[in-house]
Amino acid sequence: MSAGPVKIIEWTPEIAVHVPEIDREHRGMFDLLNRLHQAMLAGKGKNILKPLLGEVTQYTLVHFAHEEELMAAVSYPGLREQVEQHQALRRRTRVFAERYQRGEVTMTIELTLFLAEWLKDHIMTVDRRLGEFINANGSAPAPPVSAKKRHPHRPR
Amino acid sequence: MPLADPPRAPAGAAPLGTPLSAWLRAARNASVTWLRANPMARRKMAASDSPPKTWTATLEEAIAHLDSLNHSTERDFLKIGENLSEFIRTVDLISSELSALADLISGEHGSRASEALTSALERSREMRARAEDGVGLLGGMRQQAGKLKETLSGFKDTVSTFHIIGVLTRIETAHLGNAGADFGNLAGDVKALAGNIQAKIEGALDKAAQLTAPIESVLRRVSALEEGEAQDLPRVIAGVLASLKSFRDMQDRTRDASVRLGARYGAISQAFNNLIVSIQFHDITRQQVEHVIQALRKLCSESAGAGGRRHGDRDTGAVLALQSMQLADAAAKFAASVASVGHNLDQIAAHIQEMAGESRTLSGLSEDAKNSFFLEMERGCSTILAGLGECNDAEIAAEAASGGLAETMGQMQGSLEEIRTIEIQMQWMALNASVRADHIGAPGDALAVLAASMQTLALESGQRSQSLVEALGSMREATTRLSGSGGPALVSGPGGGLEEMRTAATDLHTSSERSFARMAEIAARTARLREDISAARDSFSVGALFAEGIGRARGMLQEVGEGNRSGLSRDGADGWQRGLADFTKHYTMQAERDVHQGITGVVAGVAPAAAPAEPPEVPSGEAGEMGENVEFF
Repeated sequence: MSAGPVKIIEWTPEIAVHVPEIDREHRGMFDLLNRLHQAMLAGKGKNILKPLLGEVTQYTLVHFAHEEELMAAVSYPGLREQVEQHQALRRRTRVFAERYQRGEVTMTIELTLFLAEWLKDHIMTVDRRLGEFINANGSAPAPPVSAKKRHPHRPR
Repeated sequence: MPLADPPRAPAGAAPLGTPLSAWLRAARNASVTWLRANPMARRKMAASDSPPKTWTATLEEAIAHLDSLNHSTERDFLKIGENLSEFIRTVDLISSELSALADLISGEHGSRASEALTSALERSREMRARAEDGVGLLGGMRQQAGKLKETLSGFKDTVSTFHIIGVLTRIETAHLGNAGADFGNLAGDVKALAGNIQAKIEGALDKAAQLTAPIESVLRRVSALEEGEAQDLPRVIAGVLASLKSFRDMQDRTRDASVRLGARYGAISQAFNNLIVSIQFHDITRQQVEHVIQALRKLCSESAGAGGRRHGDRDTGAVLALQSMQLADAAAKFAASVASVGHNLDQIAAHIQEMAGESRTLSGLSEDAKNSFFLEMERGCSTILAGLGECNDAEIAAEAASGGLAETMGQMQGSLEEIRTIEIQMQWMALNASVRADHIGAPGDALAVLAASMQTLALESGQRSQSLVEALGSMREATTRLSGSGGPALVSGPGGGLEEMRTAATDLHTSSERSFARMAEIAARTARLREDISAARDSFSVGALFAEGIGRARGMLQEVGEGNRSGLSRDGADGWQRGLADFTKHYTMQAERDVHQGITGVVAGVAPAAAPAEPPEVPSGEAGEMGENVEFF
């Protein structure tokens, strides 16, 4: 335990999907929330809203696509439910981005609660079930094609 | 526990004072005889494949065992010690974070936010009243602009009539022939003047049309402002102020919680101090074991140095029994120390849990309610800022419109002045025509009628122009009131009401997000500290290990001691037992030292029973030999 800055939420191997690319992206999501928390602690949440919302939006586009490819590849039975959840999260993220575009910057608390809910209800439960399914059904498939394209030099 | 009576020294067994090797041989012989006579013991011995060890080998084994035990327990305690400093730093951090949170809520930040918002509410009410005035003014302006257009449209009839008068004048002068020669110019002048008026009127009508559009635009914006979030501004601010009432309640609770927090922090510090004492106490038991190790080593090395000859087996047995008791004492102290460490860790964990509870007490809300509270505050701030944004936009639009209106009205004013000039010319013309018609007499009657109509028309036009001037004057005044110093509807820019309110709402949001994040930080740090303390508590299993290790070492010493005692007669053994009991009763460091000295032969035959009741002062040189803290015993 360090007496330095504390992460309010931490990725743990228990919630791993065991597909390195997906797990790396999940860790990135945890990192986003911790960064927002640190900025808020300093009273500078507004300053990082723009890049943060950009990253969250990008995440919903790239990461969800990776997950959906993976679920299709392993014939995951919960695919439909996952896709619906992804769409709902995309919609909510878009609303945040639109509000920001309209000049609203006082939304850091709401965004924190939204991201925390996302991590808790989606990554730590729904995605975790996907990881359990992959574990129970043999080794993880090859990384998603789009992930390979994005990281051509990623070590195998 | 012996399986049967311990083997007695057989006839011819080595008496006390016999060299140790001879005693061991005699003891071994006696044991063999006893084993032959005791099948149960034989079976037990057969179960063990290891050959019988010499007593020094057993002691060496005990020494190695104790040494290893001391090192392993030391590691455990050092680990706790390392964690402890980290725990203390974390508790300090949590405490300072709680203070910072209390300051955010009840300190300057909280008060400032409250004051700023109260002032914002007053300003928003004022602003709302001004916005309503603005709507009234704009409505009036719209009406005036409508009248302007209507009035200007009325000029069209005047111009038509003027044109007709011009045509009729030409016809009449043609009938008069030479007598009406002077009127020929009049017809031309009337025609030119009518054209001139027409051009001016059309220009003014265009300008009047330009007036309506910006008025309508500002009016729409202000009306939208009244219907939109800005209309709710006072209500929203009042709502946030009501939340600030909760904020003030929090301030009261924070003050109480701060006092409790101080006490809680004191209790944690005390628990940490107790933990440190427990750990130090372990250090004492470690040295106690170290001391036993030294005594046993000395016993072994002195025996080897004396070529196996011993000063007295009774003393050797006493030393072993004494060291065994030392170990038992160390084990008891260690157990107490371990229990105390565990208890203190539990206490710290409990206090930290309570301290974390204080952060919730600060808000006075449950986790969900706390989130809702901060969310509501944030939404309140967002609505205020959005409302202020609308006001700002409306203000910018009003200012832009005012500027445009003033310019247009200026141009209209110019047109009206020109029309007034034309009207004067018309009046002069009409006067001139009536004078000439009078000179002509009866044939000029028709022209006199035309001249009178012209004059009437000029008068009507003058009245119309006057009403236009008045309408323009009212509109100018309204424009000035809308944007000028006479009473601005909305105020923005540095130092203005809007900016001040925006700053207050933004500051309030910053305070809210910091409080929210700090509460989350405290909760996370506390939870992690609690987990770490719990892990340290669970991994602290050294107590059982030490007790078992000491039990084993004592068993070895007992084994050697009983082997030694078995060489005594029953009377001798009883006397030894009594002496040992007495020695134990009056045990002092000096007595133990005397025993050691007795063993090494420096001081011969010190009977344990003769030990002094009070411990004599230990010379520093000897104390150093026994270990640094040996005087603590």
